[in-house]
Amino acid sequence: MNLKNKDIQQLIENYFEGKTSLQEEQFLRNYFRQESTDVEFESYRPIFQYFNEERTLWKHKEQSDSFVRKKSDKRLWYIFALSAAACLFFLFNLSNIMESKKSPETTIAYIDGEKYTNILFIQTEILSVLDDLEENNEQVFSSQIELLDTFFE
Amino acid sequence: MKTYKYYLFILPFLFLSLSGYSRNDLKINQIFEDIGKKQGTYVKLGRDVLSPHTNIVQYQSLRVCVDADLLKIIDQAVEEDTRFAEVVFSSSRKGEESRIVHYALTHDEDALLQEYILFNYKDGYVNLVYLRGNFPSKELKKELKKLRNLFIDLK
Repeated sequence: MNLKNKDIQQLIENYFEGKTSLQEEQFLRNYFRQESTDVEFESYRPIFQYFNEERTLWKHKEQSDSFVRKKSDKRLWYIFALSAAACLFFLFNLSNIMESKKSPETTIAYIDGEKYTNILFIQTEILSVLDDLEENNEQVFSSQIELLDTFFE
Repeated sequence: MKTYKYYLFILPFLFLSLSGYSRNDLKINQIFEDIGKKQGTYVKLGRDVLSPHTNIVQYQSLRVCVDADLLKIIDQAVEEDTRFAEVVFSSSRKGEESRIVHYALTHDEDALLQEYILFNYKDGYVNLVYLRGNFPSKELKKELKKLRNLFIDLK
């Protein structure tokens, strides 16, 4: 666009009256971005330079805001993915969790109200009690064989 | 954004509902707890004995000398738990007060774990067994034999 000074003056006037198109505004911005302008319009240069700078700053700010927004979206996604993974892990292991609740780690026996646990451990650790426990151990297993035998005819 | 929050909100409830669904409240558990821990022989086998050798994942047994009242209590508990169960095996002798019944609580043979209650009354003694395992009812006797042999080995 090669305009005469008169046209530029008209454009500036229109600009301040808010009557310029986007293309015309772009022209004015580019015009005042040049190193030398007509002396006649030199007084407008600081104003348009200020607008240009503000515009650049605003663009940067918008970019940075969008980056922060993206980052926070990403963070939310991470939280969601972690929750989902935790859910799936929990669900897949639910049966095992329930199993571990129902089935004890080691055998427990109650004989006439007296509790016997961890028989093998006690056998190796406390030798003095070994005989008694083996007796009890045998008693438990014998009773189980007897008990199971009752279910076969 | 709202959708994620919605999912995050409902997931804990999903956990809780599923946890609740898996709970199992059998009346015979009360028998094991209340009677087994006071009289007779109550055995709860651990995974150390079961898992490497059998397909049974849970086993509880009670052998107890019963009078008429106790027999009635145990009978009621078994009856209540086995209301919708399938009788896998049953035997009773005429003239003798003895009976053996094997119940399968889970009807679905494809289910991951099957539940069984075995009841036996003879000579004034009740033998009550609750077991769970990943085998169908037709393999129940085989698993019981395996368990029996296991006890002989442990002995």
